Amino acid sequence: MNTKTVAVMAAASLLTAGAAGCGGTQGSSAASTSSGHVNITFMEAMSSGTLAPAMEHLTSEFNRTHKNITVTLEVQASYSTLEAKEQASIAAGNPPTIGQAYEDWAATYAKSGAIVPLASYVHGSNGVSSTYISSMYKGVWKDQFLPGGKLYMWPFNKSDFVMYYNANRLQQQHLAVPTTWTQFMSVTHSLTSSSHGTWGFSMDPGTSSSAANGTYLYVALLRAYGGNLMVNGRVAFASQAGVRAMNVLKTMYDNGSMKLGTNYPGQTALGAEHGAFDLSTIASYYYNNEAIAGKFTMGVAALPKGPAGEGNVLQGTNIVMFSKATSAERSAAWTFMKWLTEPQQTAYWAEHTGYLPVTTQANPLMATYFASHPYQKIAAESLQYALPAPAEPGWTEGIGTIATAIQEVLLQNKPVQQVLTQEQAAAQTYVNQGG
Amino acid sequence: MAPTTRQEDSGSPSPPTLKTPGRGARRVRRAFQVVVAAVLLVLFLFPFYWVVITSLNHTNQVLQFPPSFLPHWVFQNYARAWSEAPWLRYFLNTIFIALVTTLLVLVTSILAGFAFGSLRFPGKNLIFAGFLSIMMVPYVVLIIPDYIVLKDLHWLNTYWAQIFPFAGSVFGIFLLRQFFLSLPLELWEAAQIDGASRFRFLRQVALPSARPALVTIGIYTFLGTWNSFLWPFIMTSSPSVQPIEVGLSTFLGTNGTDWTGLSAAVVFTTLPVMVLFLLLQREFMAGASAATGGVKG
Amino acid sequence: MSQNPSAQFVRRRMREYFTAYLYLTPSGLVFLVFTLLPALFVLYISLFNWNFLNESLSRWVGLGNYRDLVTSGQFWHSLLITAYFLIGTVPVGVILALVIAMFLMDQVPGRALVRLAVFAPYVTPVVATSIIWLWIFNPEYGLLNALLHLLHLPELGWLQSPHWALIGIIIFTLWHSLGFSVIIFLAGLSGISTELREASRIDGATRLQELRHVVWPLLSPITLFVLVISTIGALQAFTQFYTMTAGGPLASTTTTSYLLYTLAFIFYNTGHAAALAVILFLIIGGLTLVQMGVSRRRTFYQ
Repeated sequence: MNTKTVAVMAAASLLTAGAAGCGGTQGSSAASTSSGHVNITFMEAMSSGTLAPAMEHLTSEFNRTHKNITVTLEVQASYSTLEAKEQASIAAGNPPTIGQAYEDWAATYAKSGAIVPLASYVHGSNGVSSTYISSMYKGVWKDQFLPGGKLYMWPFNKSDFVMYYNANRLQQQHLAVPTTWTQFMSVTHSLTSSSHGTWGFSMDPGTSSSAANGTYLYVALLRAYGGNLMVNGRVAFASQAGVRAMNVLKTMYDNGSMKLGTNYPGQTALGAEHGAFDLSTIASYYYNNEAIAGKFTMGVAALPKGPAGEGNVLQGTNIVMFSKATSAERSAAWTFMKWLTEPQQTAYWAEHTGYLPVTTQANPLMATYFASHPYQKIAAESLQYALPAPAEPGWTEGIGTIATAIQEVLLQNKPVQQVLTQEQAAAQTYVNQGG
Repeated sequence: MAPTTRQEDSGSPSPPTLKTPGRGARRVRRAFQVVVAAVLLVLFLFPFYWVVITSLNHTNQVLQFPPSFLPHWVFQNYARAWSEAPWLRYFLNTIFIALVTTLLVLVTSILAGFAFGSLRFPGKNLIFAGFLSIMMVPYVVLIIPDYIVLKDLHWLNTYWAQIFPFAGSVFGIFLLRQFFLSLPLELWEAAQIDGASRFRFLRQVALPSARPALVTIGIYTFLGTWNSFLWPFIMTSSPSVQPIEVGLSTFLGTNGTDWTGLSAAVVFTTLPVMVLFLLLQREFMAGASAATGGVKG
Repeated sequence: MSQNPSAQFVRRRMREYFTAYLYLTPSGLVFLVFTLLPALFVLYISLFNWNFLNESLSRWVGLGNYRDLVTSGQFWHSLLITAYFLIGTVPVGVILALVIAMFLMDQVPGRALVRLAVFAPYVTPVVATSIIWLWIFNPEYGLLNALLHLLHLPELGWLQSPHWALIGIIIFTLWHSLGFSVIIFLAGLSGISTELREASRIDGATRLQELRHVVWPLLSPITLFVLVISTIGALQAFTQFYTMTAGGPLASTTTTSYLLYTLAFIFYNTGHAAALAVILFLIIGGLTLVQMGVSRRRTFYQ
């Protein structure tokens, strides 16, 4: 090492404290120029599979047709990174103009005044018509409000649960596609054989810090048996319906027709011809197909029904608008948000990603697509049963108690009613703390 | 406790004069050693073999039970995995961060080690104790406040957030101080008579003799930075500045069901470290006993 | 002190002082900005109901966060899990490492290769290697259950089972970090003069006796050092928990460090997380003090 290097490096290290602000990629603040041109930023996590190209196409299409506005995407690798990045940018006073958000994130942001209500845009002069609103799926429209009745979100990538199955296996065994949970339990049981290494399906129950498909599957079951996560602002899953829903899972786990795993185990088991079913969102269609790789025909059907009909869970995120944006940026951002949900764009998005259109107005445009992709129609029809998770600031922790309850019942053989009562109380505490 | 840990000879100690057992006993003993050595080799190397095999098989061959133990040379897994994440960027980020961190640690450690080892100044012992106490603060504890500090510096999601907090190493300073302390005083006096400056003395006389320590500090800082996960995972969010391990963890999240592709990614992200290790194994081993304080998670 | 306080001498002294402080500044600044001040800052945060999104909404709660922690089941449960993990990795690891090191001291065939193999996992990144083990542990398609199946033993749930998940992580951790302790022990063992061991063998001492009466006492400073180092490492372990189990199933692998991460960066419960960090600091700090005592004794050993 020569004198110069040492000197340079010493100088560099002396600059440690003084080098703030130079370099790096922090630069997500939106800027407007005086010419009336508005730059806005959209922070999102559509980074894998077919999502990234579809997102980029829509954005460049918007930029091409709206000369005064330029939308820049800030892509994050996953939802958890997205949340961390949004939180950090809000805390640093440097948020993007708009961002994808789950209901409970939005609730947390709203509590700190970090996002703005959207009613004045939705119902304003550049808003949407009442015909459009009534053409939106009921669950999707209800999903945009926070407790207190304020409209804070605008829908983006929505999906719900469907049932994937190995059609060849069912045919070989002369089994009909189950339409009720009782049928589902008997079909999965009859397909389970330890000597052949086959079972009904695998699911990920999630953990107390992150919910997974299995966690939401319980919520779907709860609704199918007539229960609700919250009733009148109180957590209420320890109801009779909750117990019956949990017993469905327990029966299937105990007789070996359901196995637990992590990292989309249902997809892996189905693809490897061990599991006959996968209960997952319609957005997994592409990935399930990849996993199966043409080995057999994959069937898609609506989730089985319970005594109270089909229960389903609305999945996917909405878009929120951050309060740091100037009024020019806000109205530009609204233009973009509205444009994304117009029939043509929501149809494009649905056809290229497997997410669902948010309005029935997209259906005529998607007729050909639905004809060749009947499963998308099934999922779209289920949207009427798909309810969102409670939009409570404490619900990120609250949903974790369900993952805990499932595992305590299945893995530790604890009594169902006792576990549900205990976890319901825990969830209530989180909701109270968050609110 | 006996202070007999000084190394007489770093080479392999050969005890040929040990009491020689009988021929038969020796043969049994030999066989036993071969078996134990083989078991150790399998235990420690098999997982590496296994990931290579998985990366060279079709998903079907991997998901069957029992799984296939031989490769089927399916190189598409590598092509697929490589195309699905910005690996080149991750590699370049990692190399840049590791190199700059290593350089900075070497420089700051040389300077401070020299000051503590060879210079006289008021408050020396107190400051040295203060530096040593830094070692007591585990990085797990610092994650939260440093996150807020870096946020306020607008350094979140930059290279700096991954470099500067690690630009000083108590271990490095400590190790170099020991070397400078052991330099004979006459050397410095002789240099002074020649009119050499302190800096020239540091560069021409002191540093060359500290070479083994510098190699140890350099290797382990580099390795520690390359292998670090929690810190960059928390402090960064975009692939443009993230290192390879965080990239691999993201890949596990987005492509976690593609086991063969994931295995391929594990292989090509681990290969550079393995090559470095094989090239510098002597230095790694020699440094291990000294590097105990300098490796971060 | 000098008997010639000439102006030149004073000037030289002052220049030496100045040089020294200048040389200390770079590392001093790093420690100040990223360690010392943040350490005080975390103590400060721990006294607030800290609003991460809007710091001006933070509320002073005094020792409230600490009270919440020590009265919550999850804190004590995480300490218990941490203790299990410590027991499974530290004493077990030290004994295994010592046995392997002693074995490698002999003229074993392929000695260099075995040493390389044992050390290799330590230099490879934890994310990559824990992904390998994730696959080995998979209950449906994994190698380990295939092996148990071949041996007609019952297959286990491994990382999916609340009973086995921590054991799985302990196995991984031993595999990954044993090599480091082995190398340190090898260095220590080669320092014990061969004459001593030789003498004990001529006296007819068995291997076990040799270990107990010759090697162990002479090696004890190093053993203590390895113990402390691996204890601190185990208390801070995070990556394998994140990659392999994410703290589950249930809370069976939620150590105190992992709990800290979830509180701070999943639930943004910054105040409670800071209080937990302070507690963790006290625990690790106590152990580091022991380490410093040990390392002072071993300074002559480079």
